[in-house]
Amino acid sequence: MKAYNWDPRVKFLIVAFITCVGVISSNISLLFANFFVGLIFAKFFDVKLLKIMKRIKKVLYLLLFIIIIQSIFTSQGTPLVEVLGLKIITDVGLKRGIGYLFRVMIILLSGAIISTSNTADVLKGFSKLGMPYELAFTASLGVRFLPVLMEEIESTYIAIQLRGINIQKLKITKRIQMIAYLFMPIIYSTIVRSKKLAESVETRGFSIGGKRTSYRDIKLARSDYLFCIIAVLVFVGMIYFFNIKGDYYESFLSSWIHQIG
Amino acid sequence: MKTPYIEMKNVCYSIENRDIIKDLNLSVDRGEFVAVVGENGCGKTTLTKLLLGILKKELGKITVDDKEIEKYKLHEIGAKIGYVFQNPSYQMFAPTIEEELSFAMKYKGIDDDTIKYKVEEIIDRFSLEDARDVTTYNLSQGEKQRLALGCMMLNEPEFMILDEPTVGLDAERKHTLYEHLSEVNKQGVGIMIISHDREILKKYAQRIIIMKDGRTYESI
Repeated sequence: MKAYNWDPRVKFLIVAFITCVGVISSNISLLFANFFVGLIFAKFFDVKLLKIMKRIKKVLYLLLFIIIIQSIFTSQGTPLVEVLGLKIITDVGLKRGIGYLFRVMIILLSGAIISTSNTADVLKGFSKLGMPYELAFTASLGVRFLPVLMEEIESTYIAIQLRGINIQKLKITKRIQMIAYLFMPIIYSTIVRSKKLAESVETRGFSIGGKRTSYRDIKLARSDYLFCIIAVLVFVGMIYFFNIKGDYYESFLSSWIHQIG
Repeated sequence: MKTPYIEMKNVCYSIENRDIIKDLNLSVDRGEFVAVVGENGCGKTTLTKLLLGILKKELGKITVDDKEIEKYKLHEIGAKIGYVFQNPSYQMFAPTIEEELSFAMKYKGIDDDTIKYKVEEIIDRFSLEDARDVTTYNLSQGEKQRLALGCMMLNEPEFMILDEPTVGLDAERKHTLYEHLSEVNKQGVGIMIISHDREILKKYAQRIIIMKDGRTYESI
């Protein structure tokens, strides 16, 4: 069955909500609820969640590393892990780390939601919201090429290993050095692609300024309006609920973290 | 009985329910020079990626040097089989030819004198002297191919796979590249070329394998 073609502005609204809550809130239970709600909305937009999970799995160790680093550099709170009197992991640090993880996941989810619309629709959506066309065009191109960039990073990583280098066995300093080598072909191909793209759009008469006409138009349908109203109610309800009950969940989470410690 | 260096038995691979490789059988001996030719989209590149373990087969068995491909790690297979990408720019990591050639050796703990000696040898052998001061990304397609080939040679592989190495090269440069490869082959390194140059390859390859609809048919 073909999925309903949601107006991109509906997706922008959801993305704006989940990212705003993600950035402003430091309450972990609210961040979790926000991510969960984001997942439900993503399902409506036909986001291939399993595919994204598979991709995230590859960088999971990096995310866990970020949590630990965040935690190590936070000295406030009760220590959970202490070495020679030095606070390694504290309850506050761990909470900040988990919060950070949710924020990263929300960014990824937002990208996934926007990418379910085709570039032309996203562009039109941005323009209808009053964004200058040139800016909207650049932003939508950026989103469009993200998967290609991911693929190239993967190919380069494979190419390094095919030179017979065991990356896992390298010392940390050499691994960091390797990152510079990893990005060299990627930066090169990105520059080449942008140059070709610029030539291509110019040959098709693309220029800055002037009146633009469009063959395809987007229009908010009744279901889009309804969805927006539901989304506003869900987010307002969620924020209101966690403002009242948030302390209870926070204290529950704190006691859980202490139990682990 | 002689065991083939590369063997694929009844291998199947599909993407989104579309069969790319269907019940494919292939056997290549150690030191053999084979060419795989076929129309666009017939599964040639997929075949090489399966052989290197980059893609995982769905059915069948793939062995390299009498060991199943699943038992190799990517860097282990990379040490045995040199792979030259269709677009060699993807496998250039350093700004200069010398740095590019010494890249893998530096990470394997080889001493500087040996690296320098080997790098100079490859520059000379693959006629890269004139391009020494040119940034790797600004090299011509032929130079890039030769540089990628040189990098692979420094790994001292037992076998080499080249995915359409002559794309963008004129007839003369194609012949030069194939001459280089024949020379490499004479030293005992097996070669598999994925290409469209069926007629030219008749002169160089010992066997031409034709691929059609994800299956192989031997030609000569």
